[in-house]
Amino acid sequence: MRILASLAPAVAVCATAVAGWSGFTWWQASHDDGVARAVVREEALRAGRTAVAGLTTSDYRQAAPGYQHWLDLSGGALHDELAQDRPGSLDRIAQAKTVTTGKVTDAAVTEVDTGAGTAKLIASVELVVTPDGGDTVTKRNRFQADLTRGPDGWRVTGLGQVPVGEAP
Amino acid sequence: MTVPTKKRAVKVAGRHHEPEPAPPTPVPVAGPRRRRIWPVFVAVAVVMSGLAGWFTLEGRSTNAVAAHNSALSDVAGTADAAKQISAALGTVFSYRYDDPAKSERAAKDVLTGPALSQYEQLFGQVRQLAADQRLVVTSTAVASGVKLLDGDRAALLVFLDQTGTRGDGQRSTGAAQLSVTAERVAGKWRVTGMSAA
Repeated sequence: MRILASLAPAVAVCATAVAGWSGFTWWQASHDDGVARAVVREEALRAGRTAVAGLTTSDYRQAAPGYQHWLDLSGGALHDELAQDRPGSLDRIAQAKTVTTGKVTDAAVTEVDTGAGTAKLIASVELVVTPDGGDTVTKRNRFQADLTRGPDGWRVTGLGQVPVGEAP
Repeated sequence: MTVPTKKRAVKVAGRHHEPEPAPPTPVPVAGPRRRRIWPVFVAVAVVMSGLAGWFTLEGRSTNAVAAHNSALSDVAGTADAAKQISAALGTVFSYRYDDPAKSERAAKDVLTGPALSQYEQLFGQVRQLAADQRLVVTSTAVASGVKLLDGDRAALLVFLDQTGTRGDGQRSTGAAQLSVTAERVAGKWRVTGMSAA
């Protein structure tokens, strides 16, 4: 009892010091720019893979809900474009009568901006295209996507194929 | 009766060599007070140890995302890996029918391990065709992203443009997507594995 009583203050001081130090380490980690960039990288990659697969998938038999899904995945300029072009796009999907399924085979984040909450991603996409009554064709396409973090998570604000043969 | 008492009190106060009367409030005894204070220190120690454990775990999990993958968080390192590996892929996937040894030398220089046989698989046919048709194949990395950067190991996704120019000047361009792994030895990145993405 006497030993405990005499050691207690020293132990309390040591524990307080360790708590202070580890608290500072945590604070430092959560304010570290490198860590913040890695967090954005991981979030953008996860959201981007799902969104690019969704935005390269369409089914003429469920055109309207499919289009709504595109609107949900997109944001900014891409969303505006899709929303504006909705009647025309739905017509084209209905006429094409194809089912296209996009699968991201590999993707990498190429740029992050932690302040603006934006990221860029490149993705290799396998497109399985099945026309109505036709044979399935598998294509490989490469995409670049712009991602922006909004209040409800990451949205694709720009999506395009990486052009072939335009390199200087 | 009150007056003489007052007089005596003044007298007593004036005598400095006489022992002072005990103060009315007793001095607190050390024993009981100590017994009451040490549990407070124990409680502080317990609470602080708990906080230290919590902070350490939080700090570790916050750092974890960058600890084993510094791609994009290490800006210079990421750019260096992307640049070196993109250039390496551009060189090995280029071929001149009039200098066939060049791409072979380049392959030996920047490819290692399984990447050498994978390279044969991916490019052997193209090289054969190029030799037969007197083709010049030029590959350029048009986009690259570092997926993983962990010390001297890296994984990337690289988009290549491949342009074939025939003897008569006719050109054709194709696209290639490669998932590659690489390793750094003495500051130089070498491709250890690759597959079509």
